[in-house]
Amino acid sequence: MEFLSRRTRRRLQGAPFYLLLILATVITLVPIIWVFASALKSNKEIRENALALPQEWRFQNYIDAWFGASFDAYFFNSIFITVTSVGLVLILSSLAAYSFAKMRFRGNQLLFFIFLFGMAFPLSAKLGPLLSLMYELNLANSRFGLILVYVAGSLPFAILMLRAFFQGFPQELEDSASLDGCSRFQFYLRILLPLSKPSLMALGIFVFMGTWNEFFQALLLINEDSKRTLPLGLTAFQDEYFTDFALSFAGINITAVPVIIVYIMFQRNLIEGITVGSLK
Amino acid sequence: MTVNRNCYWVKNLALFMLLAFLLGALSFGAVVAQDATDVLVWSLGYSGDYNDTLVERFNEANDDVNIVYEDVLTGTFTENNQKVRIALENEAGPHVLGGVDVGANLQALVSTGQVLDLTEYYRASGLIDRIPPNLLSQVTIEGRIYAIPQNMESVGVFYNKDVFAELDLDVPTEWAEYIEVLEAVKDAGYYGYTMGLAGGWPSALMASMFMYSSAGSEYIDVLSGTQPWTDCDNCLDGLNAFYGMVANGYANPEPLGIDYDQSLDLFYQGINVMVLNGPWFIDASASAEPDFEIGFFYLPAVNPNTDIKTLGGIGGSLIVAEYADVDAAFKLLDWLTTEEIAVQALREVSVQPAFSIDVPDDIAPLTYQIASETAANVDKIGFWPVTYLPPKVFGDMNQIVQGMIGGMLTPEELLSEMQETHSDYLAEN
Amino acid sequence: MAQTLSAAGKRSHNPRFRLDLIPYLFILPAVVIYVVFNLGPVLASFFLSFFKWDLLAPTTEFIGFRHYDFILNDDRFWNALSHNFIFLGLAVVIPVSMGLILAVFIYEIGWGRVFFRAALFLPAIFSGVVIAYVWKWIYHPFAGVLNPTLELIGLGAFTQSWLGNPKIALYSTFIAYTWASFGYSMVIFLAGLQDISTDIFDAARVDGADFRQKLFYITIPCLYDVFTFVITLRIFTAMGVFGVIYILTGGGPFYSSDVIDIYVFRMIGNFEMGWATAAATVNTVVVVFISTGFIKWREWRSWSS
Repeated sequence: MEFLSRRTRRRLQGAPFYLLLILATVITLVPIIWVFASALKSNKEIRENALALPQEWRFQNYIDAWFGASFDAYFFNSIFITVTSVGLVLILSSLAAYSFAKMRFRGNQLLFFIFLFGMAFPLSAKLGPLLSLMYELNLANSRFGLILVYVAGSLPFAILMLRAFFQGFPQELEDSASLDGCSRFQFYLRILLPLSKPSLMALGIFVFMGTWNEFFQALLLINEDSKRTLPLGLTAFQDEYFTDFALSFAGINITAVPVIIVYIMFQRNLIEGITVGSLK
Repeated sequence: MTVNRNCYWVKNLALFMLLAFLLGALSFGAVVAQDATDVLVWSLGYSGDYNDTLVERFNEANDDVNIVYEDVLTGTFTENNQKVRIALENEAGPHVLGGVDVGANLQALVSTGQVLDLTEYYRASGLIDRIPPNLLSQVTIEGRIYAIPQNMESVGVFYNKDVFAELDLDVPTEWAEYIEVLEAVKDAGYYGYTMGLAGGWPSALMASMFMYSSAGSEYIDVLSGTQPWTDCDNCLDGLNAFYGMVANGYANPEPLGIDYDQSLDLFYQGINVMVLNGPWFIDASASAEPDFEIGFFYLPAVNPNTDIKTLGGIGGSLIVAEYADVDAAFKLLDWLTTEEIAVQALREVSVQPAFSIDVPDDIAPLTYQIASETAANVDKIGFWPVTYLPPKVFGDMNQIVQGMIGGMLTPEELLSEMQETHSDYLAEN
Repeated sequence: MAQTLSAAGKRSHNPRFRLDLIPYLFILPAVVIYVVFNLGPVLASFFLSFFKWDLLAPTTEFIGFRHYDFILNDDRFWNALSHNFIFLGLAVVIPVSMGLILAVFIYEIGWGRVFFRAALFLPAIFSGVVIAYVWKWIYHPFAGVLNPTLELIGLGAFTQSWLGNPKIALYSTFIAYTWASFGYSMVIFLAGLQDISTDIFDAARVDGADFRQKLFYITIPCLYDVFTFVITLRIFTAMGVFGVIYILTGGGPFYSSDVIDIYVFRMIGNFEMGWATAAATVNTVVVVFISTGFIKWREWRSWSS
């Protein structure tokens, strides 16, 4: 082994880890690859040999799926609902987290605990009264109503995460700002937010994923086809086309691809968002 | 760090929010624009595409009333039921609604005052003389009529004519003959009975088919809660016959692993030779394009003395929400119940109207056969179990029937489970 | 702390008698939306479980514990809850240990960390709907990919109806859940590992510790708090599991994969709101009890040792 450099030897020691990791990656990704491959096959090919690769690549399946259902409308709804929700969550949670992390006031601990409680209960605990409430407020079957529900659902985690992050800010920064005559709102707007850009980014991506993927509250609250989000549209599409094998694979892919693209672009931010919130 | 740079970032955020709210305003505009319509419709009781077609035709033919159709009811029975009821109650739902889910919930909808009393409309339009009495009885509650039965249908066996010819089989008319056909089909390497029971609804319907076929109107008493499930020996015969489809290898494998649509695919592929289904199957199989010819016969009765021929009844009923613009809604009802539109539906999607029409003989032979047989047997049709059972008990029945097919319950145990679930429910309400 | 006090003191001359409204103003918008659209419905659910209520006609008839009486005497409820516990037992072991092992592997290798982390986390980004439909196809008895794959690698004896067999339907849904959730545990463990000082590992290497010894004597003890967090997360998701099962089996066949949230959703769908809210309340109490009990136990153990 003398003729190998230290570096190479260390790499070779890692070889079993690489092998196991590659194996795990293959097992993890095979279902995804299979779904993508199947969307390019014909129904006959899928029925007769589920494992084989497509003989000729039928991109027509995607076109049929896109135009066979109103995926363009679903796509627009998902973008609108998700982007607005993320914006609102960032604004509301950063304001509240700043207050929780940096200000002393009566009820600080209690109010924070009330927010924390929001992370503990299962979805089913609120569905019935929520449905009734949304109809009472005329917010059922409305994208705005859904946005409010999503924002309310994301706030506990967002505040928990940003509070942990803001607590790490040196107190001197705020003190010197206040000496310069900077109000607390100005400090928040001019100094705290710009300095927290990475965390806000991480949180934003995390909330984006959660909102983009949400299904059951949308199922309960949205009725009209023209207001459905992508996951909701996918279920309607699947119910209709489950026997058209290739089309239903294409429908699954159309729903999954935007998330994959965002994930590839912001992978680091997303994982940071998950881990920062959890380790502090 | 300079304040200027910070401000740019804040500006970006503001710009981003502005864009988001602009998008919001756009979609809000869309919502407001919709309020100008006269009649909002969620379903007219046909498949989604034909609903679209009908609405288009109506809007072309009528200038003063405009119909907006929203494809809402694409979920499971339970999901649709929920959407309809809560939306109607909050006056946020459709003005006119059709579909199979409506008939099943009429009692509940009426009890909370959500649907318009149509008794006067029936008298004024003469519709009251055009609907068979037993169908009318299903939409009459305490002497008032609340819905218009739109389609009638009966369930029977669709079979692969090519395989029947290949094996030299005749259409069976008695239970023993039916078993012989199943045996012959099985020996030839096919499956005779198509079964896909995953999900929330097919199991209870299939089991009910066999219980009607053996217990007749006694089963209606059971469903209505006036006779205990456990006392219905004839129901037990039916369940045994149903279970025999699995136990004797007549049904395709994995009946619990595939849902109803997936099981139909086995029929289209020619692996399964017979499938129990309603007249909508003609249209469904035409669009799935199986490369063989399809024939139809009624499932022979398990018990030859039964007074009920098959499962079926009202395929869809139209209701009008109590908050609807009555004149506009009635205009749509008038149009939908004309002979011309009804015949069109029969011709184009093989859906048979519930009100009397002259069935034209230039339609597809299979459609003609089923339409005339349904009309001839309309007083011997056992209604869907959801007409009698509370939704919760119907949901439980699906799971319990799955338990029998999965070998976890005997048919006797199935009846006692149903008895327990049903009586518990009735005791609580 | 002293600095904070002085900062606050600068603003209001005597903090004890003058109420500072700014902190409340900052929190107010978040509190309003959160209380109206999230916490409020949960509390309402709790209160309404003592009333006769069907979502449509609000009535004020107080009926005490009658809904609870029905729920707690309903075999289906206990059946569903027991499945949640099976899920919980599996979820705190399988996705967590998979996540730990993979995180350690990724930590040990030099080149390619980012790639493996990203690739192995990929399933976790999808909507529950997408995950459920992908697995519905994988499990499809006639056109799926799982049975042919098993035959291909010589395990043909294991092929079966993955979602149709009442004995294994629950476990089939658990596999889909695991596929979608081990990535979360993995990235959190990995971040925890990267927080451990490398000096400890270097010292262990000098002492000649092998991989197994390092794992059990350094890595796992150092990740104590991370374990607490990861397992708490699994408690929440396992007790509230819903989407994957709803689409894969809907709780069937014959309630064999029924869980509480499916039970509740079915009740809501049938307008049995009393039973739905009672069952949801029981589930919430169980989740809060288990999770806080677990966290307290972990804190006590770390404090006492």
